[in-house]
Amino acid sequence: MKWLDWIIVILLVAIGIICLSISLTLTSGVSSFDTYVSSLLSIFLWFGLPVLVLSIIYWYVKKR
Amino acid sequence: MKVNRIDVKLGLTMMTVFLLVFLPFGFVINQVFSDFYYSKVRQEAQKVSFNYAKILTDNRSDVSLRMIEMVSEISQNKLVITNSQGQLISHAGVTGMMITLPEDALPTLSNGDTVEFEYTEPNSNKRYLILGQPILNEDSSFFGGLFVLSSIEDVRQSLQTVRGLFMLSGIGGFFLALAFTVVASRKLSAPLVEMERATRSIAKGNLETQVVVRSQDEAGSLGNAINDLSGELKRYRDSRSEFFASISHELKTPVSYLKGYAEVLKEKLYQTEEEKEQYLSIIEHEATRLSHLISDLFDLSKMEEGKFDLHKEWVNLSEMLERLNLKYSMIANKKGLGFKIKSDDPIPLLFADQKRLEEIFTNLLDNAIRHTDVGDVTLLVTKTHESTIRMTIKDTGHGIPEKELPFIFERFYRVEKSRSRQFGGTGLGLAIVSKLVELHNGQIEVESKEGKGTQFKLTFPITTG
Repeated sequence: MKWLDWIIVILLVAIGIICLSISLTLTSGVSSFDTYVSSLLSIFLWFGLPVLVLSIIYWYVKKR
Repeated sequence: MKVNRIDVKLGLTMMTVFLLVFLPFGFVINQVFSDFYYSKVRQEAQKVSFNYAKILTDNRSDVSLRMIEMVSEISQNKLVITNSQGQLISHAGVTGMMITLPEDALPTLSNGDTVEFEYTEPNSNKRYLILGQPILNEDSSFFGGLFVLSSIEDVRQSLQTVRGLFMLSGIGGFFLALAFTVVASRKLSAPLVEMERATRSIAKGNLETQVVVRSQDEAGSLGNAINDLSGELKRYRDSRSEFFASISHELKTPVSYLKGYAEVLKEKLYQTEEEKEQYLSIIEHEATRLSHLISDLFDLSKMEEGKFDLHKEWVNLSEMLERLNLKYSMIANKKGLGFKIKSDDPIPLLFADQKRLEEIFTNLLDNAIRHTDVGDVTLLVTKTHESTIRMTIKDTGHGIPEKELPFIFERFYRVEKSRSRQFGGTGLGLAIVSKLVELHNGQIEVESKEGKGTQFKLTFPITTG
């Protein structure tokens, strides 16, 4: 992949996470920066977990 | 930008799968939420209307009516009470509203069932869910209907907000999926794209092209296969070029001799009869060499095309070994080498083409003597198994470098490129031997150490059809 592809991918991930965190912040009914950061961290956690699990599975498959 | 690409197709497929799952899922979630909220409103309206209707059925007095109106106004419930003809008897909180009952409302209520319909207030555009319960007389005949109006505007607005948030989350999820799709489709298709470029390059003649193999899966195996293929093609191309160079040289030398000495004879440029005889011998020798070379090429070409016929019969190996001993003892002695033939006694008959079997031995023994300067050349014939015979030709010659061993049975392959020509080899001998052994359903193996010598081990089945 070229650097331009990676920039596009990073932009898409950023847009996706921002949309999700705004949605989560608005659902809570409290529109503050702290709530937004908290939402963002929760999403990162839920985003990172499958990535971590899939990475471990991929690494295991590749090793075998 | 080219759109008809494997990564674009792969990405579109992944996104289609994502949308195929995501859109029906979103629709179901929307329905679940809507039904959940509406059913709560319905249940509440049903409870209130049932209680009021029961009060009026049990005790239908002006006091009861007023009490219900009052309670409704306090609890901000809107209600309408009609008689069996649909004429308004009492109401609470519906001042200014023009409610038209559906045609089947009263008949349904008269049957003892409840009715339910939606009503939108024209002025404010507010939406209500109206639930009607029958009011019965003491003799259980139909008296009229009690209709409770529950606003569903709040629910509708809440649902719209939730839908909006879901939509925003959906868009977020879509972008995340798109990002992963881009990475996955690029990464998955990258080896294929690289291999396509490599094979195109190979097809254009760049046989040095190699695919970088990064994985050990099927794609990695395919990459290795392409690398092997390009290596094979390169070796084939090199070997072919070498063959053309070699064969032109091999043909040119005897033809030059033939032409030169024929001219000498034609112009009578000799002085004695002995000189003339010598020139004629050279012409004969070169013509024979040329004939052998052409014959070898012809045989090999027929073998490779699968059009080579063997005339198999029961061969007495003892007789053949005697002939070989007579011929090669003399040749080896001339070079100062020892020549030995050792064999089991008795040696079983072998079902083979005698002429071609002798050709195999001749080729291998010629090579052995040609490439040995000191020591011995040995031919060993033993019965290794009930149904196989092993023949070993061993020399104490120059030996073959280990890295060259896998290629020595290939056409026109020369171990010592310059010296082979000097020795008179054409690079076809071992290729012919290998093909002939194969045609006899036999096997040939070679072991060699540089400076120590070489041994060829041939195994033939005794009986073959």
